[in-house]
Amino acid sequence: MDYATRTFLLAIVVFANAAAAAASRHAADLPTIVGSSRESPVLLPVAGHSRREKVLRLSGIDASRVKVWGPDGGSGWLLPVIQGKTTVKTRGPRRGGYHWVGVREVRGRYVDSANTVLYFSNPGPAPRGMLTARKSELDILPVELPREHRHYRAGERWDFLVRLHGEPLPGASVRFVSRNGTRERLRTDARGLVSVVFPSDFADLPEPSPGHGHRGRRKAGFVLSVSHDDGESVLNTSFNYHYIPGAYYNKDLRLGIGFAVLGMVAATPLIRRRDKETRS
Amino acid sequence: MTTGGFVLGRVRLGVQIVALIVLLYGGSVLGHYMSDMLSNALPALACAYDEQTSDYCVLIPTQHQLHHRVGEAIVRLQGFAFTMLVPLLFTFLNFFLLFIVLNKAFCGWICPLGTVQELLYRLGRWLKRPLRYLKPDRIGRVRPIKWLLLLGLVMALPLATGLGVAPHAAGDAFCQICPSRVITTLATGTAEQLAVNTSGWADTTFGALRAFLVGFVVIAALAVRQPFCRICPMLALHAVFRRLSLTRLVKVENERCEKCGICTKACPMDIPEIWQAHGTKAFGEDCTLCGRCAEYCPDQGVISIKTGPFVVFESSRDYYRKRIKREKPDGTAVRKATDKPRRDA
Repeated sequence: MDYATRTFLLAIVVFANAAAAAASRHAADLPTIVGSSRESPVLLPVAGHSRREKVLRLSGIDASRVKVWGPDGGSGWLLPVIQGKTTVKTRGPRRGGYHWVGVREVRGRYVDSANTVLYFSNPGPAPRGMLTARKSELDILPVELPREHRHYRAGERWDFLVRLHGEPLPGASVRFVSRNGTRERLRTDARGLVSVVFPSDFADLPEPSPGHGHRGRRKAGFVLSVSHDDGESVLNTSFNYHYIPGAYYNKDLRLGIGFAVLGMVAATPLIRRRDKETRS
Repeated sequence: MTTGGFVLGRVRLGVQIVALIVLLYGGSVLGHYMSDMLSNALPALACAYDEQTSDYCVLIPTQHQLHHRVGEAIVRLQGFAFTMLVPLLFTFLNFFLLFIVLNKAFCGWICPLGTVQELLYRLGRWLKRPLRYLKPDRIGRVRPIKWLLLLGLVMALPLATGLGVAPHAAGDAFCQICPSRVITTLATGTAEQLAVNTSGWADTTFGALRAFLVGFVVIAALAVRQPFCRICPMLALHAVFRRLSLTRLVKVENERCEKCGICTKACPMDIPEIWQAHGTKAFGEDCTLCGRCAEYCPDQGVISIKTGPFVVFESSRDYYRKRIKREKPDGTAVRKATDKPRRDA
């Protein structure tokens, strides 16, 4: 076997290994389970936001104020709800990144809480403090949030923590509902953690309208909700955010490998020794 | 500087390997959110398409600013406003602060794709592949390509996308074809950037071109030194500001140069000017400040790398004698010599 052939085979093996590693990351779609018919309270983003200011609309919950935590946590601050909407702003330069927004409503023995996060394209501290801060009696919290410019993606597994009065809650039933229609019921483990594999349920939806920016990007909202009845009160808490299609959505890896091999073939004359090899 | 076991090429390789590891795997080592902190602090390094990387290449914010801030703002405002330029200027300022200090040394010492190409070239020596130099006339034909890529793919197409006259895929047109996007993400175990997006003609064309370039560069790098660097728009951006840079290549006139030319043979970019010219002309637009010309120059102080008033490295006969016994100017190792540590020339 000559050197050119060895080199060519080596390159193909490298690509094949990488492709296999990538394929193993694919996870199966979640099974569809019919969940509760009751609408979970959510905080929905309103389009038309700016880099420093975002608007949320309350749905399924009624309150006069929301509470906001910056990425470094702390005690948070209150914002008014006007006509079912609230406007969240970052508090100055380098105070951006993720912000947690929570709202709470008490109706007799029922205590509802809706939560979401907003991302501001403004540098700021890591959201560790924000995620560990206690929000309500019953919390459902992402263990980690996607990094800057990232999103939860279909096929990826992410952990969420359920806490009751600040302590992990094992064995709690957690409902997952996506805008695309996937419903799942999950249960927290001994550490109060539940793993969510975001479903690959974008396939049958129509293509989004084209746009200049990311407005045409496919996104689907999801809600994670959990309830707890301690006899005196019924606690209902939800966390809603969004996820996007998986890494290989509308992509063809075999086509990519094919063009890469074509490129390799095109470059092969460069690495072949000629009969009278001279430095050209 | 040139005594003892010091070898500039080895120091540079060490820096390149450390930079490669930090930029590709730093996100895993430094923590989930620390990567964001780094990307805010050093916006000029690794690929934004890598989920695990610890930093971003400066070309992505440059394209995004032209696409989202300038192009879309012009459409919204039906005109031009100073406010739309502020984020763009901030991006450039952030970028050039790094470039003013390092400038082309980024290419020769830090760029992950440059390092991968150098390693592939070493593999080519090990596989005994032929070395393909680019003759000066061919270099003259290749050089404009990087400027065309800079103006067309980094600037014009993203701006056109923002103005709504180019498809969304062209919003980061250079990233769409950049082989680093595939090679560095493959190194972190994902082939998603190699996959071709088939949702539209523009995405498919860009994806096919990107994959083709990756295959071509990987094989070509076994025989041609730094094949992609020669057309990289990052090199062009550096070239624009190289005269302002603190770090630079300096060559003084020497009558012995005419009969020598070993510096050009050692140059991974085959730059003829380093041999044929002196003064500012010797610091050509293709230079990556790798320092190999200075290492292989046999005359004292003729070629040097300086940062500000400080000489980082300068050519010397003693160093040359030792260097040539370890490695030929074309990068081929001299095997007998490498087995023994050398204390003197």
